[in-house]
Amino acid sequence: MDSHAFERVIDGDKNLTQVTEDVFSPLEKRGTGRWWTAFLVAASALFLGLVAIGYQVYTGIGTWGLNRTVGWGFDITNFVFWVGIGHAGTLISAVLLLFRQKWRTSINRAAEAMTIFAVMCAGIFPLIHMGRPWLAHWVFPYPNPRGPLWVNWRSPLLWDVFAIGTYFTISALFWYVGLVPDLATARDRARGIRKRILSLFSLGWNGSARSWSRHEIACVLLAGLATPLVVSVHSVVSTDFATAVIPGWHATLFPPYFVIGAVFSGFAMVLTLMLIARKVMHFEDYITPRHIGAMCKILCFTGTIVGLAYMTEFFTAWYSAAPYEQFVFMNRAAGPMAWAFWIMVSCNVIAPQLLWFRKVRTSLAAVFVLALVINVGMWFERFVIIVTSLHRDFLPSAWSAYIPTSIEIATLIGSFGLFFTLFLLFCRFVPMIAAAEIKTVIRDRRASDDAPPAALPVGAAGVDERRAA
Amino acid sequence: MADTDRTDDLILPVEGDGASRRSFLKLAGFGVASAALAGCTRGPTRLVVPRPTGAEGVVPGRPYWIATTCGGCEAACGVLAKCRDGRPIKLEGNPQHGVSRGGLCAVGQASLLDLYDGRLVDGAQLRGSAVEWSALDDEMRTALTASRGRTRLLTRTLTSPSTRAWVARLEKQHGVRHVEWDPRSASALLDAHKACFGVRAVPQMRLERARVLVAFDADFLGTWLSPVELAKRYRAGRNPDGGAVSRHIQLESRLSLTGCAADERFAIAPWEQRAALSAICARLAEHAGRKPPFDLVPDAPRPDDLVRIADELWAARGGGAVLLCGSDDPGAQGLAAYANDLLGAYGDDGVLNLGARSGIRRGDDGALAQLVADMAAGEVDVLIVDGLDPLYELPGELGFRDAVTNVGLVVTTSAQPDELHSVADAVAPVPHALACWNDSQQTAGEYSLCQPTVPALRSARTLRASLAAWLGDSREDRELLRDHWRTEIAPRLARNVPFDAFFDRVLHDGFVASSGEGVLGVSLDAGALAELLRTAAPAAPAGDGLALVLHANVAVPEGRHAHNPWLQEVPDPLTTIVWDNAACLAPETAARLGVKPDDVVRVGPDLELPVRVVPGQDPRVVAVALGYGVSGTDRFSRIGPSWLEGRLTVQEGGTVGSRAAELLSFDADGLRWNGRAVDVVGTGESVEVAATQDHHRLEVPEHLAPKRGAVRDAVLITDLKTLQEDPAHALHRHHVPESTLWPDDHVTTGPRWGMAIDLAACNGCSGCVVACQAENNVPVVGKDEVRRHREMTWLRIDRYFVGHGDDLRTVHQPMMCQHCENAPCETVCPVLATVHSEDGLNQQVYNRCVGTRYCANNCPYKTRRFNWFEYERADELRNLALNPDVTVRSRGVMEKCSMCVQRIQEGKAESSRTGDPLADGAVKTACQQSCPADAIAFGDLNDPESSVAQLVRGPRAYTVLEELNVAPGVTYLADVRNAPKSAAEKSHG
Repeated sequence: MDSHAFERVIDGDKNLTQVTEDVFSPLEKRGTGRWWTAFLVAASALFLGLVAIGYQVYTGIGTWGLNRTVGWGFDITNFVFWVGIGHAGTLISAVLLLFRQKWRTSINRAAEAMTIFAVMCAGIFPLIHMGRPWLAHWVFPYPNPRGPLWVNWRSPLLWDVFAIGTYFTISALFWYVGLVPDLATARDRARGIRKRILSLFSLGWNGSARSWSRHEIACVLLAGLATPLVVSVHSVVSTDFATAVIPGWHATLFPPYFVIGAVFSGFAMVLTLMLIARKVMHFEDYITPRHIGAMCKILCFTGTIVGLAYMTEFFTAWYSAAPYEQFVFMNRAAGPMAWAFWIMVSCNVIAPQLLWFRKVRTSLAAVFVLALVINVGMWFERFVIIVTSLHRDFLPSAWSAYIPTSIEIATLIGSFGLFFTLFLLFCRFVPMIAAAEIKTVIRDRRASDDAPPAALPVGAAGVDERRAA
Repeated sequence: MADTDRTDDLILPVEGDGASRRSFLKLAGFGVASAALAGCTRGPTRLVVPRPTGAEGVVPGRPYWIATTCGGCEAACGVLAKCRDGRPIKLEGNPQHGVSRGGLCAVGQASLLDLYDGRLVDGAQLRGSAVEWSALDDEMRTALTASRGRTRLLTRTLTSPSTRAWVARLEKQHGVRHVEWDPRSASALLDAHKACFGVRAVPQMRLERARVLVAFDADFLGTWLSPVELAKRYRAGRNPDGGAVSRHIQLESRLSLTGCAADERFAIAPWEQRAALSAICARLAEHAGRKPPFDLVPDAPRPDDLVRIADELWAARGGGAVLLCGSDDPGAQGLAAYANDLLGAYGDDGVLNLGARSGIRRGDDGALAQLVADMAAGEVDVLIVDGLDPLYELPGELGFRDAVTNVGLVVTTSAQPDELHSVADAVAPVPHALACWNDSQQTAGEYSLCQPTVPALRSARTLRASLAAWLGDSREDRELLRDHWRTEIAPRLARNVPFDAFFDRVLHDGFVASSGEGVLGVSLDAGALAELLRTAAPAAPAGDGLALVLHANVAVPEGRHAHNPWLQEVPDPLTTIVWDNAACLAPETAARLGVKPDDVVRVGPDLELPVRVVPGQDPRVVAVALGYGVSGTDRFSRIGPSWLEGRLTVQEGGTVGSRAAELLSFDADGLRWNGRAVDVVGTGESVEVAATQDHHRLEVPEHLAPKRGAVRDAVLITDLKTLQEDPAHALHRHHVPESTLWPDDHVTTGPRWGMAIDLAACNGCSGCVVACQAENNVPVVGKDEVRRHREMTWLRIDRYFVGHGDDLRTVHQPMMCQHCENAPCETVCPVLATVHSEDGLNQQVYNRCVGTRYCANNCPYKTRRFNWFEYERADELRNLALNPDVTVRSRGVMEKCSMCVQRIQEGKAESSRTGDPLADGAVKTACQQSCPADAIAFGDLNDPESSVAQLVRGPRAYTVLEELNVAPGVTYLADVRNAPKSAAEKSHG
């Protein structure tokens, strides 16, 4: 990214106090009408999903539209979709941190939160897609009184358990460690029970140089740990398919294809959320058109690679001269579920090409629509890979179709409900902008001109408060 | 049982009462026998004292076998009932049985479940209320005496000789007239034989002798006469691996299972049969240098082919040629008889034998029509109906419903509450074949015995016992049977053996045959034949109308089978639909009518049916299966899982399928199944029919076909000539390298179980499907679940259409878990719930399965079945049919074919107990055991001498999806067509 475009990370020529005020005051006020509306909608969707899941667990997987041929449908589509969404957070915080992209400070906290919530949404599906979810603990290898019975190390589903588990743990830690200075600021501004809770979570942060030093080291270490995960998580998820024998799944292309797809979908979701959040939470000065524009360029780039991956799949099928492989792709593009394929291509390959135009990149409305379109497209990508490959595989006698039931649709809605409920709670209760980090990259206009630009620990929580006073 | 009043003495012989040691033993022996007998019927309530030791020979938890006879249809195949803890849990063909030789069809397999039907009538009923049998007997005795000469007994063909003896007594004593009629009537065949040869009988068909076999509308492998017996015999005449292979040519209007198996098949309309037969007869007569004693019927379809067929027949004359005709047209039957006579088929070495004639069809359409006329005229006071439901089976136009109101006393013996029950004054329910004594005569010299396998589950009495009671003989049924065998059968079959020894041996074997079947020399009555041809011929429908072809389905051949959920859920091997019948149309007919599959059409005045498109059917006919639309089948409305979007299998008050019997027609010559002109019009509605297969061809859809892979080579077909001349190149297969860099994952030291399935033998009869269901406790899931493609059958029969027009081949392929060596399912299960056994089986561990379905996704054959719901097991009576050796799976777990691992374990346990190594063939899987065509071989692949290992080495052996290198344990043997010379040359030229 051209970092000189980001000479100013935020707009409005803020000083440290203003940043603190902007970031922390929404947490101390009552929720706005808009927030409550959004929260009620999200919570209703979550409730609908919980009812659907409850019914499904009580009655059986039969309440989904799966059949003897298509054993995975919405469940694993949603799983891969949410895991993909969960990609951008780590990419933004870890990789961009290592590359010293300062503009990331405006969006990294929210993006990381998004990652964690998306992985939580994703985690639901492997659990509830089991015929007997109450035995889900059997997929963990631990000494047990059942023999002991061990797990199957050859199964990609087991690799998933570790990949997702590791990813979630590191992401949550990274997010939380980054959050500590801001929690301390919130603590210092709070009183009563709120102060006590925040005290607990801010781990006794006192703003000392030693605290800052440890914090910095921890952040860089975690970033270093998280970076390989950006690649590994979705590579492992893709092996669920790539190691299978089913034509359309059985492809060595899958790991990079899935990773880039995940970055693509993750950034689309970050954009979607940021565009809403900056309006709702009045963060226009922090999440600027320059941020949006940078993310649009990433979208355009990754979208093009995704398109290349689609073409590579077709080329491989043609070049392999394997009739089953060739048929799957013919069937994908012209078979009974071609509509899903063409939705995917239109949304993921064709639509993002508009982002070549500066006019589009700078039109927030257009970017918002495109981000939504890409979200839809990336959901369909997973649907296409899973369902169109399964529904017509080797023996024509076993071919069938897949039609989701109301329960599956409600579960999908519920997963969005969970995601937005968590995100909205996050907006209300956790500083959504990494204020401490922002403060490191802005110039406090009250500081003397010859003073060095705000260096690392300057503007830290606690210190900042007293100065403002 | 004159001694029963001395029971107390028997149990506690009083000392000094003259009871010597000798007489004590005698009496004690009798006591045990009578106690065992008393246990077979429901006697008056008495104190039950549990035995300190179990019955001799019955070990709890170990199965024992009782030889008996199947009650599924008149063919009366011999069965061995596998019993556990006092009840039968599985029926298997009796390999020693002279007729069925170990095979058992789907209907026979499923008849077990009827035993545990809780809806059957329990005890006698008189005018709607339950009464003691004695009350019914009093009423009947009075009525029979009062209505001398005005009583009719209407039955199906009675195959039981002892029952026939009592019917004869009834006829003699009360002037009762006995009318036999069969819903699957062979009346035209019988009448033609009566006219031509003076013998009203179905000849025994020794198809194993046929070298050229031409069949007109005779579905002898599926639903005609005795399909298991005929399939066995047919298979014996077709052994592509070294033996002789008959030429089989089928001419039929609809597509039947037999037509699918034929080497050559032509679609002809029902009204063209006479002309076609006539052309064949003319050509044969020309060869024989005789003049046909009748006027030739003009306008034969495909005259050149018919001449060629006649030439082929003639070349195999004198024992090797036969023409079978299943037509309902006496004229066509007469022509067939003439052709067979010319070919010498009735001779000593011929295929047909009227001496050992079959006893399984005697029904007379004319007599039935006469009966209805008599009833309508008020000449019948008492009507006793056994085994039939005329209100369902006869068309309204015959007038049975009105006529029966003129009958003073209507008695039915049906235990299933059917339509006749609504007009019957008395019900004398008969027991299930597995719960009573009975006998059966298959041919002139072959007898089977039927014995109880379970204590009576309800109060019922065989027709024989009822007739005897009404004639004043109140002996137990077993005594009646033994009495007949003592006086009538034993003297003929066992002159020098004491009767008890003879009877016990038959009881043990289940079957007895007289040595040497007499061949009846016949001579054709030309005048009678000419007379037959003057009967009304079927006519072509006028204009755009279609001719209706009514037929029996393989799984639900008659209405009486409609109450069996196992049968209802067997996919029809031709249309793959379940829980429904349909209007089958040829593709061009459907296109002309502007209807597509699942559209509802009106056939005739008011029969509404969904459309199925069946290639190979004559485009001028619409084929509809009888046996559906049985009242009371709405009992199955909730048979599947009930959930938010679940739909009922059948609406309350509705029926499974639609009743087509209304469209049967009766004319002067009898019942007509075929040829009625009907209008078929679309109603504009459509329904979702539940079918197990969506795509019906081996080729992928044309617009999606890659250049070099339009055909999926799951089924390979070769022709006999190539196979015999160049076996190494009989199959066109891609070269798959045999060597691998990887070490052998699964080294087997002991046996490695494997299976070989001969596609040349398999005819798709689906007996194996039900056998598997019964053996492995596979649940019935209902129509909605099948519609959603969630059938649970471990073994399915894939049906593919290959080619077009005259070259159309319909192939059936049993498909189950292939037990791959490199199983894709095994690597992906996260919890190791599916693993490889050390003897080569792919095992599913139910209680370890968490239900990710990854294994099913990764199975290239899609043979894994997931328990989507907790399936209905609430019917405790029906649960008695469950196999205690096989787990009933709960919801959320995967299941699939286990190669009957419970049987393998049993065999291994037995082998280690006796110390003898497990012999080849000692373990048979359920599907293999039941197969009437012996298409399935199972055994140890590591034993080079085992039958399966030899087959696997043969030139026809291939594995499905070989190129995936999953190394299946199931090998298929390519289908073989004995193509006509010209066609073989053409395809290989």
